[in-house]
Amino acid sequence: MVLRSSKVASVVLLIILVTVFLITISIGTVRIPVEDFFKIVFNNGEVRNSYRKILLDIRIPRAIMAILVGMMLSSSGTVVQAVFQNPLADPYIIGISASAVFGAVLAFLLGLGDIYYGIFAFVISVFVSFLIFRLSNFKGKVNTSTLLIIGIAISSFLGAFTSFAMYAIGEDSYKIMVWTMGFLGGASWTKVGIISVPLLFAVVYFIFHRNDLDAIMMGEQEAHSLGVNVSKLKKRLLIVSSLIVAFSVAFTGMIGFVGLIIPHTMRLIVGYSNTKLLLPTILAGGTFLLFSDTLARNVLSPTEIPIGVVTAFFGAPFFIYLAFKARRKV
Amino acid sequence: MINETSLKVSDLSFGYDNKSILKEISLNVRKGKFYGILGPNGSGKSTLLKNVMRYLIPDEGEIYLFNESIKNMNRKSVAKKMGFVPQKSEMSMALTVYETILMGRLPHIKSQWEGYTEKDRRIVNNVINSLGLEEFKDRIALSLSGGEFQKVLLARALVQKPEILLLDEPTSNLDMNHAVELMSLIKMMTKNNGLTAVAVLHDLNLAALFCDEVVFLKNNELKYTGCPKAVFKREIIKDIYGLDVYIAECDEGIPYVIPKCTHMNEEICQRICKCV
Repeated sequence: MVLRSSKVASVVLLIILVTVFLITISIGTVRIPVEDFFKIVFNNGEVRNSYRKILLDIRIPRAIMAILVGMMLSSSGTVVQAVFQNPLADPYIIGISASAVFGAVLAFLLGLGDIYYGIFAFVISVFVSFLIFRLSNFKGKVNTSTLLIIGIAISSFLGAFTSFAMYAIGEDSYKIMVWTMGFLGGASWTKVGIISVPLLFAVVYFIFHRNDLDAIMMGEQEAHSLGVNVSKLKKRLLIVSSLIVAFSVAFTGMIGFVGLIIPHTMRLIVGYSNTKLLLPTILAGGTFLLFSDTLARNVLSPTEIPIGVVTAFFGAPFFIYLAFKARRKV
Repeated sequence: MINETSLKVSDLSFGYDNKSILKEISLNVRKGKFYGILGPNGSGKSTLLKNVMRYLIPDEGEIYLFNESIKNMNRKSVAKKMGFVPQKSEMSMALTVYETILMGRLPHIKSQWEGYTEKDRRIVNNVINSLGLEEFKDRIALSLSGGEFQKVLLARALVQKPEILLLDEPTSNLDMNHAVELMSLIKMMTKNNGLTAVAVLHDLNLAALFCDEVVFLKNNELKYTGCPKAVFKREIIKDIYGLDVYIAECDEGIPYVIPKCTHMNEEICQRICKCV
């Protein structure tokens, strides 16, 4: 059972999420009254056909996609940080995201269909996350510096491949470039349906193991003494994290900082225990990405800013602020 | 009851990279007793503990917990019977003292969905109160001093409600006051609650003061075992550590080891021994 503070945080975040959702679906190049959304949901009253189309085919799936991807990135960030016992171990920083992009680009280069992007992204990111995990593991303990160095090296190496692919593809490279900066424009109900399955599975899996995750943060030997099968659990958690990161990258490209700043911010609010952290983090991740996407769509409207640019633009300074705040506390 | 065996180590051998770390160790640990494992650095003391808790898997030999081979027990069952206090925690995140101690109830969780129950929280609160940790309950565990933090780790192991407590150099990072406090707590629990404690120790005099039995390891082998009075002999200490010592004895018959140093002549050492 989670404690009251975590429940309060979750309820507040849920209210914010719903509010941001209602705002985001009503604003854009065409302003649609929020009442129209409720009219559609409750099938009560007339709604202009074009509004109905915009809401149902474009804005709502896109908003839900943003929420789901934000949830994926923030929850995987929380779990990867617990597994590596390092609050800086974001899937983006340690190279899992870059390897997912690499997989997706490979599928694109091989001329395979959309469905293969996710499969390639998944297989390669799982392989790379294990490689990083194995290389940074020394005598049963994950070496933090090695982990970051290997992660950065792999990101750069695979980033070089992606850049080369863009160069080689020529004019069509725009498709990949959009991907590397994150793009939610291609959201559809089908995609929402596809990514909700791994997300749901991952969230259930993470919450199920929330107490074991706390034990893992005590180090391998101590977690073992508490009855946890540490290496098996760490591997499974990494596979599930890679799975959802891979899916999010395959469908929406690389969106940085969410997996880093959201868990970090939530830790300041509800504490470090995963029993209290996971649910608020998942909700905050969804809210943050939805908010970022709203900005991405509207700031330079009708031109759209890639969402990865927005998350980094807001995320990086905020992260620096948090780091300074934490430093003052110490 | 008094001579009931809690833990039995039978012909245990362990090594890696063709290097032998433990050679045919056999040991019977009796219920309700406080055992000290002593020996020079690198003699295999901590490795023995890691084998006992099955963090490392022995190459040969068996370990029995209350006559049941540990090999046939699942991790949770072992964790319900055996608690562990490390020398230094590898805790990496800022969990509170309460959250850290609550984790000791992990092996007892019946439903992963439900998580910790009211009963678990009651047990945790009782241990917190009995160890005088109430004022630190909501503090970040990593912000505590070494002595306080070690007590938190002891509390976490105690809420596991173990019958055997393993401690890996629990006093190494503590000042004398905290070291004595920790050892006294463990001693009290072995005497009053029938807990069996096995601690890797470096301080011979702490071991003499608190342990019912000591085990000396040297060159990866078990060399001597017995009560402190029986094994704290000049020739044994010389054999184990290669160090000349004087052994004083206080009124209760507890031995006290004084190393012979170059700046202390025999007369001074003997005078100290008499004072003790």
